[in-house]
Amino acid sequence: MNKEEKEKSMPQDALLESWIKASKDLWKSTASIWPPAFGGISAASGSAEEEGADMSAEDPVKMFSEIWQALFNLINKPLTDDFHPTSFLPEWMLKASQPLWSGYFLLQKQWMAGEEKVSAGEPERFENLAQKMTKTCFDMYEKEFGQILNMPQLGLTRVYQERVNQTIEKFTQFQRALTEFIQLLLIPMEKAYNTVQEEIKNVEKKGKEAFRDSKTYYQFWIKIMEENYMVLLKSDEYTEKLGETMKALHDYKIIRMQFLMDVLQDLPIPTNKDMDELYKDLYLLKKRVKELEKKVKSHER
Amino acid sequence: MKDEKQVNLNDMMGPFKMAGDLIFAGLAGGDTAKLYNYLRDARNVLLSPMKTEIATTPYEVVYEEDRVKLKYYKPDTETRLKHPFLIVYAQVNRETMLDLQPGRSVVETFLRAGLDFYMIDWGYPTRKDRYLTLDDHINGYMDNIVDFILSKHNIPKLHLMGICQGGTFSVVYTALHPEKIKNLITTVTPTNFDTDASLLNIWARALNPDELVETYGNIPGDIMNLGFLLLNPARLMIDKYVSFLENVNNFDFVENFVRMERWIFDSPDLPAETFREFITNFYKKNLLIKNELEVGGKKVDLKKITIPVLNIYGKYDHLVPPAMCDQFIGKIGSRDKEDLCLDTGHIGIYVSSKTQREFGPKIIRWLMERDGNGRDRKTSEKVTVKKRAPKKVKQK
Repeated sequence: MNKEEKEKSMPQDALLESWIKASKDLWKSTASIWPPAFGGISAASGSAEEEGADMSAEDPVKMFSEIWQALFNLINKPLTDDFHPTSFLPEWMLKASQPLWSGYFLLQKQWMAGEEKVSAGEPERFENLAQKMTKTCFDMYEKEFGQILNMPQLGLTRVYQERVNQTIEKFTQFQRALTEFIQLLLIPMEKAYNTVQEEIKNVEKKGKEAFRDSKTYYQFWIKIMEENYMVLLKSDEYTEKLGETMKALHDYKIIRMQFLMDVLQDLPIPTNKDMDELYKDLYLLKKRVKELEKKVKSHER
Repeated sequence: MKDEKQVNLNDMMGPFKMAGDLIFAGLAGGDTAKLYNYLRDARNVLLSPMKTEIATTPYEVVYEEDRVKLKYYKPDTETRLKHPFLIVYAQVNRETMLDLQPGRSVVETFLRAGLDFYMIDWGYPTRKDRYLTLDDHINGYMDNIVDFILSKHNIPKLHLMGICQGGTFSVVYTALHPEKIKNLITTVTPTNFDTDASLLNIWARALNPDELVETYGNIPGDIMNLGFLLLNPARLMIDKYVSFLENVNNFDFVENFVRMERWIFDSPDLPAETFREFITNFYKKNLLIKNELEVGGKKVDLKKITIPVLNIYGKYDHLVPPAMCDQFIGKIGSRDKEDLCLDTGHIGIYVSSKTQREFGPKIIRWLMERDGNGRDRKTSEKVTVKKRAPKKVKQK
């Protein structure tokens, strides 16, 4: 990380550190409040008999408090204390959670921008907001976790591990494609809703009662929605997205099948591949028999 | 005088309400007493016994091969056709649509006119059917069925009628086996796929059938149905059920609605290889109308169709629009050929009351005029049914 990048990430790191410290303080103070109610760790000890009697109720709480205290003591060590095993953990945790924080901040930014637009009287359209958020989430996945899943695997179980990773990877890609496809399908609905609301506003401005007859309101809405759907369903964007979704589904189902075959190979159950091969043989045999049957019949005539 | 209990629901709602609230308010005209009556009637209708079975006309299964069955419908009166008459339905959805309910049944219309006929039931393909190709269906099952009927009646030719994809199969069959067909009727039959008039064409060209087949094997009927619903989501997924809600207190409406739902969502899977071939050779390459299609290693030449042909399609068909049907007549070698475009849609052509008066009678007239000399039509009792013994089936 160069100096500039370091400076850029400073506010986020500082925020994260202060959050961790605040959490630690909160849990510490909570732990010190518990004793009167639950016989916590810093409470004045009663008699040995009383202690023994309350052991079953007290122990889990005590253990929980101690774990939290130990964890936050570790976290509270200075981050710069290199090579010290206890200081390595918080830094590792910080780094590991960095992508999550970055993504969260990015989403936060988008929400803030959306809210700014709302306050400025220009509400963000659902289609834009949802698409942006989906993109951010899946981009974050691809940039961080996706790369980990694509790391080369080693050793005897390499093939199987890669298959598991690929299954997760393809499943996520399918979810992304499906989410984007569904978002696309929802656009005409949102547009129809907005058009109808606009129409009602216009009618009201003219001093007329806006769609007092619910049937008229509904028919207007459904007609607008139908028109919007016709435009969308004929568009290249829709066919492209449909193709992408089907491709993602295909890729996921193929790798999932391979993964399941790995699992099934140790069980006395035929795999899809076995069954398909069997059915193909059966098909070819039947076809051959039918041809021969026809030949025999034509000879008999 | 207005009842005090009658609160106008519209008054309680501002203009910025969700459509759902307003629909409910509108159902009873914003009147609580009416709303109560409506809900009571709806409850009575939904809880009362209904006759929602479809395809109730009795038939006999006279031939079976694997999953495919041949149904035979015989009128109570004497049969009027000299040549046997075979109907081939699509593999998408089921042939039960031709016999949806009494009064809205093509089967009933034909039987009342004294026509006996055969109808192919493609059945429900299972995993073992995934390798079946167009050749297996057209030169296999269809040809075996035609041979069976011709042999049973001891006659060289029969009348063939195809519906939707079954019509496309019938066109291919007639071009490959012209010597076995007396007259051909195609109804809502796609033959030209190079058009953007239907969304299905646009989507089918964008899809990769190889991937779909790898993903699913046989293409699930539910996936096909989802595709059909997406052709018009506003009407087919929302408006249709709003209309149901509006009429849920009407017994006849609910009964008819449920029957139609039963048919629509009774969708067999499509055999994988047949689907792959159909999408690739028809939707993507449009080989049939260009006389470039090959089935079972034989070229399908539409010019070889020289028999009388009646081609019926719907003006408002959104699945197989006129642009997919109206070039066919110009490409065949027949002299006696006719295009008939009816003011209806894909399903309406078979089930709407208005079209019932036009569609069935037209086919009957057209066939009777071209039935000609049956040349010794007689049923040979000696012909044995292949595979399994025939059985009587009263209803599905």
